[in-house]
Amino acid sequence: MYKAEEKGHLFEKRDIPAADQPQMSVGDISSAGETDTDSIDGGKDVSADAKQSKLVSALSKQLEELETQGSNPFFKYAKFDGRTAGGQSTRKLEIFLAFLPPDQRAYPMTIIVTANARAQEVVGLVCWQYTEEGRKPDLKTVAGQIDPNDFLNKFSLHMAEDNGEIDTDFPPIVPTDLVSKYGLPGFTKFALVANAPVQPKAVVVTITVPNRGFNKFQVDSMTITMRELMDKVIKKRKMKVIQGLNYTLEKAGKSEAGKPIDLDSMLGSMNCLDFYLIRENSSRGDVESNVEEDQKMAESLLSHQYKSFHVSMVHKLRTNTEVQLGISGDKIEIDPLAVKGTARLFKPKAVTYDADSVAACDISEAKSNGKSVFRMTYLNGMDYKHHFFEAEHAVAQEIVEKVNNILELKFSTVRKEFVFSQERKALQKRDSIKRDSIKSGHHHH
Amino acid sequence: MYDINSSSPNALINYEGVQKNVTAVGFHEEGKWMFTGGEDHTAKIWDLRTRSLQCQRIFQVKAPVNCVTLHPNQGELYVGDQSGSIHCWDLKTDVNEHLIPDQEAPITSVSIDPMGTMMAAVNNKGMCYLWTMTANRPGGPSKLHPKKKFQAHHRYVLKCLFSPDSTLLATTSADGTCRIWRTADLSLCTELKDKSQRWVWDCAFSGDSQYIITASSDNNARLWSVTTGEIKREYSGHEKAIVCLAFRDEVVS
Repeated sequence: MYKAEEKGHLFEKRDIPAADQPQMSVGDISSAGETDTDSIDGGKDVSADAKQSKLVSALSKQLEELETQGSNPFFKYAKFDGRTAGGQSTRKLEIFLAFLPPDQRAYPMTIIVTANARAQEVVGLVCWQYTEEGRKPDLKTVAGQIDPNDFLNKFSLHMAEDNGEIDTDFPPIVPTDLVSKYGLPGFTKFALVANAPVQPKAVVVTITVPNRGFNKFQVDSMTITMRELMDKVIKKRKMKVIQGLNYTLEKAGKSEAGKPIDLDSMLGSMNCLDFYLIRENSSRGDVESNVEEDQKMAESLLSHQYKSFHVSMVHKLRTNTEVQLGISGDKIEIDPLAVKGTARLFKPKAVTYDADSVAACDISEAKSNGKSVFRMTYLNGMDYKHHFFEAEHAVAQEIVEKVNNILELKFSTVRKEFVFSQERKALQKRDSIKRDSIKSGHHHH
Repeated sequence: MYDINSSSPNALINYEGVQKNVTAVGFHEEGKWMFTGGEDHTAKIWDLRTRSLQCQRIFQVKAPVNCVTLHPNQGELYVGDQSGSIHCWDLKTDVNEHLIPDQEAPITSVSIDPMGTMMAAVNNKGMCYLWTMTANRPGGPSKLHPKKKFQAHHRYVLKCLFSPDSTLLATTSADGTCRIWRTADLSLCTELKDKSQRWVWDCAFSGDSQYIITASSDNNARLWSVTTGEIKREYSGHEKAIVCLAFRDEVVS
């Protein structure tokens, strides 16, 4: 222990420099009193005031320099920054920023977040770090005016694939869910999407292929070219594009018929969302209505060419349904036609049969009302199945001829086997008749 | 004691021998010695110039110590305790005396202005007391002259602090505010208030007395402009109340 008498010199007092001395007259203590409301005597003297106004501290200087920058509006989320979370458990996440220009989108932002952060706080932290790093484009450009207290509706967080694509199998992450709830520690890829104002409304474009129905496409951008749209249809329908046989698009509406559009222009410039796919040097005019008697032979000869017929599909236990039967060298399509007022309960599905799976087509019944029922036989797995259709006699006749022409020309395996099996049956029948007649002959004898 | 320049999270020196909570700690301005105050009713001097890690001087009071303040002359400690006493301990001579502004109100904080001319003390009834100080004789204990008593807040005052230029006195309170008073006439200069901040535990001025940083129960520290009362920065990241802060600034011009 120290003894003050011995070691007092170790606690020498410092003289407070006179220059620093009072701005207050310390001598005047007469007015001291507990309830005294008088001012303490003295106050600041002018020279001290002047001197003080010149003083600038390191902090003030720094603040002044940063003043122009403004503070990060997302500072509330800084506490979820795992880099400074000392000892707390953290998660390292890769966040793909879907709102960046395409060339930057592939590079995720790495954040380290405390494990207690919820999805909305992760969004906040991303915004904070993005702002802190001074990245461009700034968030205001991306998501509009941001209120730091209420900006979470402007962004949504999604699970992402390794390449940054949003995993559309999952909905956006619930903002109040802990991020640590999602996946394993290794699965850490998310995508941040700005919900406004960059997302345009998705539009639906309809492209009709004359006599072959239509396709609808949802497009995200009006900047898609018409050629891209046309290619979508061609690809979807697996249409074969033959060199020298080009397709083009026309706008819907009678006045637009025969006016091919510029395929390199953008959808946005069309003022139209309904188009027809037309083969060059062809027209979308209704083929059926122009059937001429003298064309009949030619049609049959050109049996590989697509043609569609309006017929009734006959069902065993219920009423007939109206279908469009499309026949070409490759396929036979059955497309149900929507008929107003009829019950939709038995609406058959659209089906397509490969021409190679069709075994036979023949008239099975000629009715007295001028209509005929014809049968189409096709191979389904190991069994032959049938569809029955009803149409005006002439139409039924034409279809049967057309299909048979195709079957003759192709002479597919299915057709071969069917023909052989028919012949076998006929042979067996003949044999059994023979046997029967022999038997009966014996009897007679 | 930790070495802040080291990456080691372990303490450099562990000062043994304190039985109860330490409520105050501080250093001689040149780092010659350290002082502590605690609930064991003592203020202690730990002389860093000796090889011993034992406490060298003990000042015994009759109640738990709430606060200890070093006079800018580096030779006197002012100890505020739970019984409402302020003890003035002259380290050179070992002479001490004490003041009791209100014996029913524990002293929560004591501050002496950087020029050594004023002392302020606050208690848990929201009162603030002010004395002027004079040096008795060169090197001798300072003399205190009661100057003024006023209701700074209506609830617990947790801290009082003079600004570096001695023109301002800040008081922080359980009422969720920090008030800044002009020492010239004890008029209210600014009230620093934020609806979310709750108890304001501690504060520190910038070197030029233009800004003040507060620490509060809402887990945030805030930087305020003294003259306008505007929040310049908020420091968030703590998960629990911030009850004390240390800040060192310097005058650059």
